[in-house]
Amino acid sequence: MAFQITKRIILSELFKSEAGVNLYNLHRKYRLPFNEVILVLDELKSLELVVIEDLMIFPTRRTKEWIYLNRSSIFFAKNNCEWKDIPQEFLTEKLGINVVPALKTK
Amino acid sequence: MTDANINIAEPVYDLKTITSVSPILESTPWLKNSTPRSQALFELFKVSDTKSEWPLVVHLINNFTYVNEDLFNESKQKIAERIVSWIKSNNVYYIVAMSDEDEADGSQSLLQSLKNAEPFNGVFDEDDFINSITAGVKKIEADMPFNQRRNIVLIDDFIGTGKTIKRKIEWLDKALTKMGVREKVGIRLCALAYMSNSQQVISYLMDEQKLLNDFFSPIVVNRGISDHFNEPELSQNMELMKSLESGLAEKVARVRGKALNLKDHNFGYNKSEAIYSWADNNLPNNVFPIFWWALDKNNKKRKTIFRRI
Repeated sequence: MAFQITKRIILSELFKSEAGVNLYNLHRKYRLPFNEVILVLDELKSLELVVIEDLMIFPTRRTKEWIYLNRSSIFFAKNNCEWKDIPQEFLTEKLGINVVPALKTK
Repeated sequence: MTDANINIAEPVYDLKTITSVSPILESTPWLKNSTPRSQALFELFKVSDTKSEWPLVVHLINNFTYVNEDLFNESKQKIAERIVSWIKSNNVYYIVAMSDEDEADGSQSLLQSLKNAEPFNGVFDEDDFINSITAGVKKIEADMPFNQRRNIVLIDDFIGTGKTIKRKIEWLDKALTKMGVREKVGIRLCALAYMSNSQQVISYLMDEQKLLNDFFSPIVVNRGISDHFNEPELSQNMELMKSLESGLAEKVARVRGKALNLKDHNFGYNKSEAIYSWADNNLPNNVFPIFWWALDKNNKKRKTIFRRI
């Protein structure tokens, strides 16, 4: 999730920027772990969404459109907590309201 | 977005630190994939930059052997293939971790992973994997008397100076001799990785003492400074490392055991100069202490790239 937050911040700054984003300012302003900044940039580079020159990053022609099209998964995705979901094979029938389960007898 | 949602990195580094550290961070996956490790790297820069030692730290990291999952699986396959190639049909083989009887260590971890190596399929039974050298001797003892030749394949995760394997193989030799079966038992050694300068000890055990029949390790680790520089850079870098290590505490207390002395670990235990780690396993003490020593000279806790107990 922490990585996701770093990604959101970088993409939102890229979306707003016309003259590029200074990575150092980003790190200072949002206190982003710099390794996460690098990991996000690796991903954005592979998607051709960013051009990097020293500590400046610039959006490419398709960046804004891509962010707009993917806005719901980037900015509104919730942490799904998949670990909370109980696999089907471990579920039993739901109890009705005010139903007391019968005690097992031998 | 509130501050509570932001993953806070402390402290915020200055521009010079960021521009100096980010190239090595970018090119080193095992650092950039871990926030605590990368923060430790920034801390290391802060103590090394003032003394111009940073290029040496960068050199060591660039040449560091980090055994990630892919390299481990590839190496495990090679070890298993080599062991299978040693097998003779009328012999019995035991794969034995180099561990002492009561101490969990990397050799047992490697042994456990080797169990399901593909080349071992249909070759060994579960009982053939033994988790300590003393248990290996007991197994041979339980087999006595036997006509079929026995073979012990010792497994270790890392050979540093070679002193430990020498001590243990000599002990094993004595134990088997005392049992009167030494002539009927072959001893072989496999390691995940070994230091280049331990080759002398291994050759001594194989060629001079004739205690060891075979040796195999897929990963060789060169000394971080001595095997990479010639004079005058060699002496200069040795001095730089001494200067870096002068920033570390002379002693580090352990939970119950005897405190660790830095003078025993300068440049790594026995001056091994190791630059090696097997993923997140306990780091060998042969590694330069700047990467793992827990306290600085003011006895303040350091953020370290690796940990070791």
